[in-house]
Amino acid sequence: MAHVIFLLFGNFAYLLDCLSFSMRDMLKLRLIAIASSLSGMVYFFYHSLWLNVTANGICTIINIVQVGILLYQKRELTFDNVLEERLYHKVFFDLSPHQFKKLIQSATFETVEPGALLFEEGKHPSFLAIVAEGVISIISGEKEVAYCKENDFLGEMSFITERPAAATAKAVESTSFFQWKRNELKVFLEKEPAIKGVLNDQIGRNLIIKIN
Amino acid sequence: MMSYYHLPLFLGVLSYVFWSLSFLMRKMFPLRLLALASSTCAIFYFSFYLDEPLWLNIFWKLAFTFINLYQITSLIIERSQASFQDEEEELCYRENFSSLSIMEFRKIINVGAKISAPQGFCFTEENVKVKSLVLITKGIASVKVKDKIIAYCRRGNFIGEMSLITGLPATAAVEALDEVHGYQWNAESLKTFIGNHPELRKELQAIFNKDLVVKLLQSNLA
Repeated sequence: MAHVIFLLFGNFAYLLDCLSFSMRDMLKLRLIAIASSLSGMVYFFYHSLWLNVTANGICTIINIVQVGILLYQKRELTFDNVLEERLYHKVFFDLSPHQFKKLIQSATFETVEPGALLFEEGKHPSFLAIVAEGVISIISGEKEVAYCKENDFLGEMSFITERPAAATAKAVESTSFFQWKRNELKVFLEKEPAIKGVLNDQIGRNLIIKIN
Repeated sequence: MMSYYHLPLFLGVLSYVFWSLSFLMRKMFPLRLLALASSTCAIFYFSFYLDEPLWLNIFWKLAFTFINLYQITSLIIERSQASFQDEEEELCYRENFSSLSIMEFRKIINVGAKISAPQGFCFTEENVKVKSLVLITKGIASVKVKDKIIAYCRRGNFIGEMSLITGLPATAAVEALDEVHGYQWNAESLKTFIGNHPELRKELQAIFNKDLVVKLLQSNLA
């Protein structure tokens, strides 16, 4: 009887292993992996296979720590200010609170006075920004071609194409924005592909709004 | 010196080393190879370490071995087929999809089909849901809002990508000014494909963004 029960534990461990591989949600994957390695430990303990008991034990500990980290990252988000909160709910709602915090912590918050020049036509903007408050005029040659307002990206065309700015950006009124240094952001996004995906999506959506 | 008794134990340890290393891999091919090496070592360990073979573990490890062998073979076949069918396809890859591997590009191309639209053909109608995405490889199409031409789509431009991204109806009518050649993807099939290949979704969005920048520049100059 005991043999059958331990056999069930062994099969259960492998079945859970297979199930964990089909998971896309990391928390579920980790939880199933914990259940699998615990079942495996029971089975291998019965056969006195200490190598496997130890390996499964290490796996359990690693996954418990990872579950703890995931739960910590999923905790409710506290915003530093209203502008940050608005940015999360209006633009970066597809990011998890933890991912949003990471992205926003890699940015600086800047405020410029009316008339301030943010970048010039024909020169490489050194940053990507998103307007939090205020209005920025986009001037091509001598002609004002557009305005960037709240939640509009700034410098995104050069960020995508690596080419110099096609227009000059000048603050019409006192304007605040979140700003990322271009090269630092590129390095950051290579390490954070999920954030890169959401940022690309939102830049795309903003480009469509600007075109229309 | 290692005795016959120690060899299965050594293979058991090695199977865990390979297994751990496989988790560090970002590319599928080395991951599968390490997983295969791990399960092969484990089969020897479970066969010879104890007096009696542990059939349960051998059975499961054999199953994993076959799955990984199948996946490795599929990857090798996919790679061997990763070539261009003609010059037009190669040019399309170099100009629009060079951020993808040729294998990834082929996967996307295989979801769509080549098209040749006659002069006057309507790709999208204003305020009507877009049913397909088109990439122009030859020819010119006009972009009209309320019957007024506001822009042109040329080689390398997408048609219908804005609706695909936003899910909203087309904001303009796009009509072929001469014979237009290109690739066409059914919007629903493409969405399903992207859903099944999340890694390609990001790359496609980046490709669309480059095209959107070109279109924004055109609209600013208009």
